[in-house]
Amino acid sequence: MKKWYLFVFLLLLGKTISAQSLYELTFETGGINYKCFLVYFNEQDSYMRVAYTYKGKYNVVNVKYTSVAGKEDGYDYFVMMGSEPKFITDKAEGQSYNPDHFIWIWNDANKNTLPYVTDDPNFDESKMHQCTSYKDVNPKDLTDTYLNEFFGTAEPEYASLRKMKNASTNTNNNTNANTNTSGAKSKMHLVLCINTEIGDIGQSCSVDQKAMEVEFREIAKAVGMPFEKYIVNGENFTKANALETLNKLKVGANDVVVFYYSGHGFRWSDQTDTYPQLDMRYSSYTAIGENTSLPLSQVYNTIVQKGGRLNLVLSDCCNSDVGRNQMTSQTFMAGRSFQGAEIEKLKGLFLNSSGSLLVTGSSPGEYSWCSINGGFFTLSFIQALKEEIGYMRNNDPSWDNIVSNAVKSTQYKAKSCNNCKPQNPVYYSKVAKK
Amino acid sequence: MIKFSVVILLFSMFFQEKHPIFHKYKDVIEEAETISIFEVAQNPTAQKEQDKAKQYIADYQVLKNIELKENLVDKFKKSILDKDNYIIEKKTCPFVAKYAISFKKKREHITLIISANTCEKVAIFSSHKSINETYHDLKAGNAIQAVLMELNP
Repeated sequence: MKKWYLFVFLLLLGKTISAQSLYELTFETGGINYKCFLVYFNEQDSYMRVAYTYKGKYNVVNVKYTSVAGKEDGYDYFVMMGSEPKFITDKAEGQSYNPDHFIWIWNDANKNTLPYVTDDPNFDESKMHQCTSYKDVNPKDLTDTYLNEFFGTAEPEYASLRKMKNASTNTNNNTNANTNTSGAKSKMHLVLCINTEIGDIGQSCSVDQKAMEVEFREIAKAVGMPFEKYIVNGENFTKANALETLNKLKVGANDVVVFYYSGHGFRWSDQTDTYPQLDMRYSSYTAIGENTSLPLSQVYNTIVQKGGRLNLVLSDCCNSDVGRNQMTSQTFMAGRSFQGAEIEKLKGLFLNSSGSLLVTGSSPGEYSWCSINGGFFTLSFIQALKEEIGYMRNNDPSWDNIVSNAVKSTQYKAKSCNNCKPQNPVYYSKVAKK
Repeated sequence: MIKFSVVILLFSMFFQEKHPIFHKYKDVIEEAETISIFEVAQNPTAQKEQDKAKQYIADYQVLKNIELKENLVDKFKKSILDKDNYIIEKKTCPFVAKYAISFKKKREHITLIISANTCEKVAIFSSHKSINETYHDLKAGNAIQAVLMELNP
């Protein structure tokens, strides 16, 4: 008998997710061919339509999925656990379906292996089968014939997927006039403060920088907003440069300002402010202190005072006690396009919303966790944003929903990580629709 | 809800012999001829700013020598080499050095700088390039810091 090994599941999905990702899997077991259509939102929320013919009867079953991913001994893994199977087609008397579970395992040398599938929740080796195919589904390929294999025409999911297909084939979809309800031209300013040089987490921060830069640049492009980025990273990652960048920022009354920080964070032992100190040192040779730390609250206040229409201040860093009191008495007031996004929803969020949002990745006393794939909070925020603007969500998009979902997803990632302690992002939101 | 705690997979070939932290150089620790433990300053000092009258290790100023009693040597080495003390996830808290541990075997050396327990991390400096200047996170309640606390209460 082959030796079995224990995998303790860790966390998060290791790749960028679009608003909703569509996949097709096929596998064969017991002489029956199964064809599956997966709609992936996030690790807590996905579903699969499983189509198969048994004794001449065509069946479609909906299965809900939660997932975990991680790395163990040089191998990445991603597991999707199925639950709550429900027949979409008529269910014959006594007919049942055991939900399937899927496992992907890969490493640098072997990236394209097909996943394994089993309906055994104990993952008995003898009941595991390798899938026969697995591929991304391009929305352009969502023909009515294809959709009818998995969905009834009266289902809302069918309508949403058709809408996605139509948008993907409409080349004019991403051209926009950048006019909101105020009628004035709006610009997006993206300020990125990223500690790319620091030895322990610099690599992860670089991943965060790239992800956030791509997301917001594509959003600006999609809604037709002029876009300007300001980057404080590398050996320019200092408090003085961050403050200079913020102070020089010229913001119009209808502009959107996004500030994003990825790096070390902490709180002084005697600190009362809920939000963390941003550790603006790119080298461990520099001592930690007031001159090298920037309170996130100060960043928020500086940006809000610029008078822009919408201000988003985000930080993915620890908020844990550094073990020292503050030395002074100074205090502060208190490559992927958006083809999966509905442009009207993006406009609702970026052109027709006003106010300010302040979010940080963890509560006082907590660590913010990251991996080589980036920060848990950053990944969760991007997931939540894309999910909110996707075709498969029918509610009006709101920043409160995005932040609330990002909080839940961050909590889930930390909870799913065997070695992590709880991580609960905190936020202040005062954003309204115009 | 997924039961995350235990899911068993079959791929026996996935296990590797190489130590995840010290790679093929764990013998430098196992067979060390000298082991030195120090309490050090929180931040390193650039070499040109170092005081020649003071002792430094990996640029960290030594504040205090800590004695490693003979009966604790094996326990200490075991804790350093126990891969369960290290985690792949990273905490975004600042490294605040507290201890330095140096293992020497002939011309080879491995030095660990351990961060305070407000941010459990370790920086590794070594004569072996593949592990030199690497950073790892330690799990909460790890055995390394527990032994250090025992040595330096």
